[in-house]
Amino acid sequence: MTPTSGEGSAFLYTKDVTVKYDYTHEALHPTSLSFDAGTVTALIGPSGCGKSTYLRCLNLMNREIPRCVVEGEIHYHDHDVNTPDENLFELRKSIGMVFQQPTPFRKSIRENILFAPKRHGRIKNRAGADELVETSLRQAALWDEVKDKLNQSGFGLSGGQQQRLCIARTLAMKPDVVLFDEPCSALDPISTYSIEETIRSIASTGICCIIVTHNMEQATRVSDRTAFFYVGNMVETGTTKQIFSAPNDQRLADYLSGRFG
Amino acid sequence: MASETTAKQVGNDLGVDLDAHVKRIGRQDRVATGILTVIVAFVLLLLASIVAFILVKGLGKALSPGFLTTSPLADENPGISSEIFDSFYMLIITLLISVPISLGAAIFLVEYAPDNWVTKAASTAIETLSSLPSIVVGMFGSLFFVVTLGWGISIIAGAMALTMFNIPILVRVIQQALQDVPRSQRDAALAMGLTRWEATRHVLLPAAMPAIVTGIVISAGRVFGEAAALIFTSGSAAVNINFASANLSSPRNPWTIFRPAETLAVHIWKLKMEPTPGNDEIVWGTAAVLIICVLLFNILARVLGKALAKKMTSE
Repeated sequence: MTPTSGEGSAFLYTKDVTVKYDYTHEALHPTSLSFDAGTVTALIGPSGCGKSTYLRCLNLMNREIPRCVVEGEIHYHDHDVNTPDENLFELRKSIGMVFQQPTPFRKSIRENILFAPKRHGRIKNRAGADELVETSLRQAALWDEVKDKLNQSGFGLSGGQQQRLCIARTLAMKPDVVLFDEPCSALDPISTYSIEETIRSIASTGICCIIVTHNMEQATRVSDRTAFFYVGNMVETGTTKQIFSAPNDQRLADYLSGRFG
Repeated sequence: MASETTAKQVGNDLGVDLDAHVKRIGRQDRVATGILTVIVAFVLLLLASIVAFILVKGLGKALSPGFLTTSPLADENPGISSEIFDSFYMLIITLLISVPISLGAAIFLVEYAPDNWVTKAASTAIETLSSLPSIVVGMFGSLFFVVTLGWGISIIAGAMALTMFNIPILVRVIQQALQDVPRSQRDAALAMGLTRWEATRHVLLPAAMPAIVTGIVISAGRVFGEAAALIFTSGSAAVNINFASANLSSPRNPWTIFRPAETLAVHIWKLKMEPTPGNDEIVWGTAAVLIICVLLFNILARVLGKALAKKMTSE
């Protein structure tokens, strides 16, 4: 099966990826999807449908779960990364992830941004560090709010600000893919709106964004393409417009009309 | 009023007397609150009366001039200067040995241990160790460290026995502290391409540090008051410490770890064993000093833990 890409070249795609928890329970049935640079893809579906499970395959985070097996091919920059000898620490430097709950570290705002780049030896001098902090925070639309308190703890920020700090922290790694696992489910509507804006602007810089969401309006607002998951199956994928206006599958149509989920 | 009538009607419809029911559960609630309050008050009273009793009996002696600074071997008005020094010295050496081991064991069990029978066996072993009677630990220490290894009755043998007694407590509190750090913190670090060790060292440990420090200081309080494990390992003979001694091989040099030592708790036990006029006073004085130290450890634990937590969240 060739990757069904929208337009342009898919540099990240999966081929028949399955996930088994406890070695035997298949939570995700064979799933093939592809993602383009500079686009936002939304993964939607009811709770427990496998969309987050699928998302965590892409940066091999499922390997951190005991007794979890991921099979199939995950192609990233022309090679299959789902192999035992893949350097997942290198992989995760270029595929970033933002979680459901904001997860700032117990460090200052500045250190939250610089922590990983420092550990990876990417910070050469003070000026470089300052610049990275500023550009990352600007990209996440947080700079103006925190520029005067960079040395205060990230814990002192509001929930929405914390989540944007986590986005900034991820962008400081210069990734070309960012995975969002329901990034707004713990946030109020205004913060949600600002995160959505941020995701659009990140995508416009050429980064491939993939977002798992419960919120169907959010998917229509933020994404170019949408994939619908149901009970461990990727049921239908297409442009967001087509998915929401002319669904082919009956289960998707039922989901969209609110008959379950 | 309206809702009351409806409730009554509902009760009548169901054939239940709701008023009586509400009265009954209200009474039960008050009785439960009363009993629980009495129990807590009893526990508090027990603790307060023990502390007050010991302080009343011993504080006078403890504060008498020279008691804290005179050698126990002085002919007139013997004090407890060696015991105080030995207690703290033994505690520091015990912590130097047991904290790194416990930290390593706890990190391994929480972060690295595969979920298999070896891990389960290790956890069970640690739990069993924590319920070993300390006199048995002392017997083992005496046979193994003192005799087999040939260390003799010494500070190091005592510290090793205390270490065996302290490790299970410390592993437990550090494990708990690490587990209380949200899993998402660890995942976030891993998702940024950090290794498990980097995530542990730079994210988990700092976040868990206030609880770890509190746990260490509280365990220090327990170690400080331990007597049974020390009687056969570091001995119960008062030592005539000479702070001027520079000879490390001399048993009178305070810093050498291969000399016998007598801690405050052991001192109490020994003096009670050999009733001599004037001993009882010293026993109460020593007990007062011991209990004050342990209380200070507990206060210190709280203060340090809070200060660290505040420093790291710095809101």
